[in-house]
Amino acid sequence: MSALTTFFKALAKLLVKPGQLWWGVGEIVRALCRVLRRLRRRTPCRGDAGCLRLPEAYKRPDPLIYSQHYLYSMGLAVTWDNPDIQLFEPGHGGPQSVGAPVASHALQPAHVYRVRVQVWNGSYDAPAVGLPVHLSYLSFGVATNTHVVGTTFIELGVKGSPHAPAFAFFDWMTPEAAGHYCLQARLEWSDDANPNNNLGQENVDVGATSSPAVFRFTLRNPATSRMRFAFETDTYRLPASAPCDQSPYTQGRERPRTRLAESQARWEVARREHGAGGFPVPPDWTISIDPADPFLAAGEEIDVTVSVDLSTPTGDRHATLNVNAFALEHEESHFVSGVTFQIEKA
Amino acid sequence: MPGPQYTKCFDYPSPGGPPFHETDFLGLGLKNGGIGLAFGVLTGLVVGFLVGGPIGAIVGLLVGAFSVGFTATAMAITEGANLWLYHRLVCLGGRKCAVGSIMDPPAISDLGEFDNDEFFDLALMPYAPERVKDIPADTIFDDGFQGGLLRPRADLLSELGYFEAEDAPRTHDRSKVAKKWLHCEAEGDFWVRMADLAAAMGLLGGAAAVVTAGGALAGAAAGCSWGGFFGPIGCIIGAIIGGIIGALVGAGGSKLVIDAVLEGIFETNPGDVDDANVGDEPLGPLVRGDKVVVFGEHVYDGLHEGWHEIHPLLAICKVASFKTTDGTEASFYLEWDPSFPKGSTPPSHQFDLALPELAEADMRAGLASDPFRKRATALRDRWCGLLSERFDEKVGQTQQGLDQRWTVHPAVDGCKPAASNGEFVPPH
Repeated sequence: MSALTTFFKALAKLLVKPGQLWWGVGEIVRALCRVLRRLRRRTPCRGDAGCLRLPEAYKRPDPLIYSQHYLYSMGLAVTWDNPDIQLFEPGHGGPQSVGAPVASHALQPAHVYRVRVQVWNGSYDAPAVGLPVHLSYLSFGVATNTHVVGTTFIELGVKGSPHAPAFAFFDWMTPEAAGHYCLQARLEWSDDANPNNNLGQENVDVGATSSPAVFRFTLRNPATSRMRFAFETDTYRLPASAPCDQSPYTQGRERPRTRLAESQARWEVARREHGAGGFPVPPDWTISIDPADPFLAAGEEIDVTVSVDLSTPTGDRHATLNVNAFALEHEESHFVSGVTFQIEKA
Repeated sequence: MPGPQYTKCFDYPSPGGPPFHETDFLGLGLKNGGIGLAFGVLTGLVVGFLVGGPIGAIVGLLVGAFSVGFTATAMAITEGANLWLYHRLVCLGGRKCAVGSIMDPPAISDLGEFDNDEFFDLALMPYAPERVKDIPADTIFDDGFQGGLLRPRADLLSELGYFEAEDAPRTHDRSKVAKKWLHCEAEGDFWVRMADLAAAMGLLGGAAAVVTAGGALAGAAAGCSWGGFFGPIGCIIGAIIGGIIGALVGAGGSKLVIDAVLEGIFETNPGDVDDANVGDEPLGPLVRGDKVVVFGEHVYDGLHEGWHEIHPLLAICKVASFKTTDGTEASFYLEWDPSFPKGSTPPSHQFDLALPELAEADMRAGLASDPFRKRATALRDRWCGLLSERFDEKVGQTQQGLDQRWTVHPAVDGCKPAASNGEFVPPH
């Protein structure tokens, strides 16, 4: 008897939801339409290796650093003063302790520095254990030869966890020859959600406004054929981090419903706020680059001189000039690399 | 976002009895159909006859058939969905994490298996997928490492039994338990949708019953008219044959429609990933031999032959490989190889130089070697520790903070959160 009571109670529960009934009828009609559509274009296979509709459970980390090539390819202006690569005097508390920070343009020859590479994770869901971080140095300039410093393995947690960002530390002895050097950090992860944001460079030089400020860098043609190069200059630099309630990315906006939509919305604002071409050199600056459009044989290396004359003093004590180099090939230009000059006023 | 979870495991023993088994489906249909039959067809037939004579009886029969179809379908789906979702998986101690190697390509269940879950088998580290079947079950169950995830629970072994072989009854003998690898299932939403659609499916079931009964009546009428040439006996025989043929045609047509509807519902949620960032590349496939870390509910699945599994699978990540200085592909993953070739290089320990380096003998000894065990444990603990953080409540809350919603780079689209005292603190 109690089984019958339960049965009719459950039946009554079903019948008192007429809205759900009509919604269900709609769903059934839609299901039938889906099947009819599918009969016309059958999916090739299901369940075989390599032909699988993956569940939401499969997660990939996105280890990343400030990657100039990636950001430029996505339409953003870039600085070669990399916020994720920092030099220090070695600390005394072990391989991860650091002393005073050191500017990358003021290095002593044959001196050991501790380099700290900051690694972020763009994924909210997947960590990376044993993530290799490779560090190398190059002669100051564009597309110059690289020399390996070493590889450090780190543990990178998901975004927002205590293990993100993670840091890789390297002890780097500078070459005997005095001069400027660039540092290049590269992350390697075979199952990376976005493998294009893994290479970052620190190419910075500093000069005083001794009318004009003169900088030199090396330009090398890494290609196997003759190549013409061109330069573009801008004054882009990273802004100071804004409080969240004043950030252009969050102000007056409702958070989009999906992560992808949120990411797309943020990129849209980033292109507006940081877009390449949006930071022209002020008209009262006089800049000369010599040679202006070099034509180099394969592997050839030349010195390029940049002189900057700031005739009108601006409010800032520091001015920034980025010189980005492009290889020209069949009327197409390819972003090669660049350098950032910081001009300090007396 | 983690993988979806629709099921909820239950603690065994429970007042609800043993876990739901696939053979219980027939009983559900018969029970609900029987009650429907008693109250639908008989009532319809009798009331119809009393009110409208023979024509009334026919109408009453069709109305009764509809109510049988409706109640039997709707109630069986509701009850089946509840049992499937909430009384099928026995809890084994909460969410667990494991590292292993995929044995078979992942697959999606067919409609015939009543769900659209995706599943695969995982040979737990350090057992190689191609060798795990030959290793004695006890060696794995009692390895003191990850084998504990597979070790039969005493009460489940004695009362419900475990998988021994395909199409064989469950065994209650621990030495015969054959599932020496971890089954993992990512959940599909078939039964949740079926529960939501129970009433509408009832309409469909009712319509199918009417079509079947109508077919039988029409067949009987036609059979009687053809058999009527041979007198009343011929009419009866013709009506029976015609009724059966009509019912079969009606039921067959209804089945085609219902199958198509189920197929459509089955394929509603294929698990498209919409939580990526701009710039993310398409997910690659998971294939045999991939080294992965899995995280999800650790349960005993009572539906099929009985085994331990991760269900639902909430997250799976690949243990990535990297290139060494000489250009060869390397990984920190450890696999026990009793015949590890002389002169080969054991996996690097560079992810933690404090861990011991491995020698060829360690690779041959597997977990019997202390350095090997330490390395395997360290790797499992690190992966599982970091992956578990994703499911930590505090981390989840932190991820919702505006300072963590950057997508380009924190220096580009990041921001500073407000501290509790009103000052601003930089992220991390």
